[in-house]
Amino acid sequence: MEKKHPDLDNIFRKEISDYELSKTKDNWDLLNHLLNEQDRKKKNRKLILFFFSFFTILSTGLFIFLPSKQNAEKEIALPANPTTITKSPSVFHSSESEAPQPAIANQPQENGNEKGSENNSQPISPSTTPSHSGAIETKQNVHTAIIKHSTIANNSNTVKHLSINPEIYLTQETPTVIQDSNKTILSETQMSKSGVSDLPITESNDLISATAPTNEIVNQNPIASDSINANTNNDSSTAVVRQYSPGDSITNEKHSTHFKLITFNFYAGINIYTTSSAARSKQENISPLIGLEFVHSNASHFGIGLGGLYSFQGGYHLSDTASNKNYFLEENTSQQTIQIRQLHKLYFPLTLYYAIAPKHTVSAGAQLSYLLSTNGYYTETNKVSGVITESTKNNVTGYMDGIKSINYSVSVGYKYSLSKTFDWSTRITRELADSYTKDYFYGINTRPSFSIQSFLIIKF
Amino acid sequence: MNIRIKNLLKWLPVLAVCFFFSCKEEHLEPNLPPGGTPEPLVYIRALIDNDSVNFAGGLNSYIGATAVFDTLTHRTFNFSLKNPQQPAQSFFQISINSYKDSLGIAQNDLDSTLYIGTRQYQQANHPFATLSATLTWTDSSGFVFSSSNVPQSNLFSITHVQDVVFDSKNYKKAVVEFKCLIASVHDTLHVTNGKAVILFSVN
Repeated sequence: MEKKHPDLDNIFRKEISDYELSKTKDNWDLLNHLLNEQDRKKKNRKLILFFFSFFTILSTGLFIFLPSKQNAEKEIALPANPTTITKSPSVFHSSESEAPQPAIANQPQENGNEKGSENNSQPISPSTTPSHSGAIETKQNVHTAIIKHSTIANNSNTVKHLSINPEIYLTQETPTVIQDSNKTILSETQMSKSGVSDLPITESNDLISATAPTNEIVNQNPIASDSINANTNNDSSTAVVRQYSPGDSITNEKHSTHFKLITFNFYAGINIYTTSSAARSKQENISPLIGLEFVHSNASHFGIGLGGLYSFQGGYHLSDTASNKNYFLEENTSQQTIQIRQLHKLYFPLTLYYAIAPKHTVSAGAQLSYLLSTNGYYTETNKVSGVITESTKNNVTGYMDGIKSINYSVSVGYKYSLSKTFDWSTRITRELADSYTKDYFYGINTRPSFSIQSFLIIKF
Repeated sequence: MNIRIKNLLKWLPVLAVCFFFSCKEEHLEPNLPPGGTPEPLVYIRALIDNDSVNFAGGLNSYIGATAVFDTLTHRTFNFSLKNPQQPAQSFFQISINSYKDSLGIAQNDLDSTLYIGTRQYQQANHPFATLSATLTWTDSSGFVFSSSNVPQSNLFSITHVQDVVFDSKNYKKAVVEFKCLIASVHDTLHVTNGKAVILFSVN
């Protein structure tokens, strides 16, 4: 085939070489831009949902897996003066005539300070008077002892066991009454986890005798103290038993040197908000509000809390209608109407607290709300081939078109401490964005609105 | 007890997150039986003595209706397009005789009657002619004009036939073209450029 115009391609190239595409957006560019914007909005929404889910799970995980402070705050009943520690082949046991574990303890009255006893079950000789204090005598190497951080405290008139490990017990005799004319000598024994042994320790072959004077700290030997550290996760809590008089019951006082970093609050309250109907009449509504909040506090006045609240809100009159029609022998119509009456909403407040006084706290924060679902009335009317059918359903859920599922708000509030366990809080919230798609619901106010939330807070 | 409550409350946020993603979103989606069309399906339009007439099912309350007229031995399939709410309004009716002189199974008769081709017009003073067509026009005064009252020199044409199911009922959709004379006891009218999409059924 003969080529009549060999330079035909070059002709077109030359002709269009000077042509430049218009830089202004034509309709296609605009349409493309709008489509991309919709995609971006969808992506942003998914991203926000992801981050809030992530933070919620993270906070939950932190709360669950952080070591509980209460586990470390053990009630420890420690012996009053005098203290007797006895040792059996595998058990140390204090000696007392009423000791509940006679198999592992000998009676101090019987054995006294018989240091030369060959019996491995011989008790550690009790120091029945303060004059015997200040020395710990051991038959074995006490450095191998692992002291368990728990103690069983019996009543004041019976033996109190300090569990060292399953094989070791520290037992206290009935407290000795040291009568002074007008005062009762305070016997205080404190076990400190720092536990550096300051007491003189005397080792012997058969028994350990530890006697602490009144108001004297009985410390474990360093290795035993290390064991305490290992078992209590470096918890520095201390336990103190004070006996004010022989007749008094032992009073355990927990002294925690820790400040609770994360607290866990349960919220129950009401949410007061405004709704509007198609007649443009505003109506105040009250709905229940329930939820949880994790508050991270430091030693200063500040704290920050992340919560999750659920509210079931009624009083709405959001009517949405969709209709469809087609033709066959005649016009066929189908119309569905949903009237949304109630909303299930989740709130995620991020709140900054500032304690202005011991019982008074002010707060400010941001809040994200998420529409979980809706409840409403549903009506469907069909006219097909001249036959009209109508059906109505109550309490249908999940119809959320026209309602913005995510909204943002800011809040300021006040919290009053009613007691150690209960707080009362209230805050005013102002939405930052429209709640509904504009012009979707006829006559409904779509502008951001105020709400007031008031809670009773239970602290754990 | 307190510890149990606390442990339970610990897991509430996890449950809330699960609830967060478990809600099913619903939308209003009105449904109609398939087979319908977004524009009027059936219509009849023509020029009657140079006056344009156009009727469509679903517009101006005009409704298409199908019927089967049986006598002792003859069967006719009919389609009319009129406004039942306003009987005084004019309307069309198109009838096609069955393919045989006896009554069979109605659906089989319909299937055998409607096919693409040209048909003669049925004459009123003639015996029943199988496969013949009749065009009837009733004006707003109630006068009935029929193609059977006048001898015809043109044919009635079926250009397209289709089976349609709507609302669980079977229909035969036919596209027809016609040109004929219609006459009443008082007058005769010329019908030209006639075209229609009509339905037949035995339901």
